[in-house]
Amino acid sequence: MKNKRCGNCGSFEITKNKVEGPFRWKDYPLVYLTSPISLLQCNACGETMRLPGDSEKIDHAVEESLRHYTQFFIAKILERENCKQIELAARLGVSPEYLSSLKAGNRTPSFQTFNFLRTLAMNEGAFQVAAPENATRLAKVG
Amino acid sequence: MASIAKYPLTDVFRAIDETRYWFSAPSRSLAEVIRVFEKLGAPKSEAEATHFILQGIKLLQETDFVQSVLQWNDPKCIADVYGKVIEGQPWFIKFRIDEDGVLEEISFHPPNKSMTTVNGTVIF
Repeated sequence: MKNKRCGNCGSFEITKNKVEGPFRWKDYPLVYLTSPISLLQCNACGETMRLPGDSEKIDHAVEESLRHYTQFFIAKILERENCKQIELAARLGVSPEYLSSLKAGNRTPSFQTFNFLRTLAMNEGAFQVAAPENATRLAKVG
Repeated sequence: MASIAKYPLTDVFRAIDETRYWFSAPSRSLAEVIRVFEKLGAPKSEAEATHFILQGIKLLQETDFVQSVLQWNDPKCIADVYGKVIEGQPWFIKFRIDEDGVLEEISFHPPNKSMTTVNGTVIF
């Protein structure tokens, strides 16, 4: 990119690089891509620029990554807890049909649902804590 | 301080319509628009934020102009700054048109401090 300066730091050192993020997206504060995409980037400060069409490319890559992570979390929880999807849906506070669509990779969850799935997947004790029958029984939760 | 922008808005709008633009600092524009609308409960994707910014620029009028500023102490890098309330939110908007006729969108974010447009409107 000749004669183009980074709008963040003013550097001329801009090249096309493979970038994995992070990207701020909808209600997600940070998203790292499962597969990096090619974007103009300032090699001095790391700012990534956008040419026409880049935003659509990023949206596609972000949704693909989030659905992939979501499917991974759901599979991990179901296998570890040996539970039915309906039980997991109850803990998430979503319909079984919605959970099925997440498991199939057909929908992108809100950050709230995604983060809860991540917590349930990565923290073995969280699944029991999140049991609906314990939701308002503080002695059991505590 | 000049009260007339360096880049005529007709040229700016034509660059957008002809897809001759780029975002040189998305952390100061796209990411900020996404952040603001997330807080407002109306989250936006990158494409939606891009559309919002480009359409926001096309809403600008000469009376929204604030000042021209020198970027990076480079006399070839002069940017125009505008201030406007769009969808109930105040925005600091900065861009330039480079020597190739390409619109460089630099900033589109809530103002860090109060700004006054050429017609006396205070944006903050």
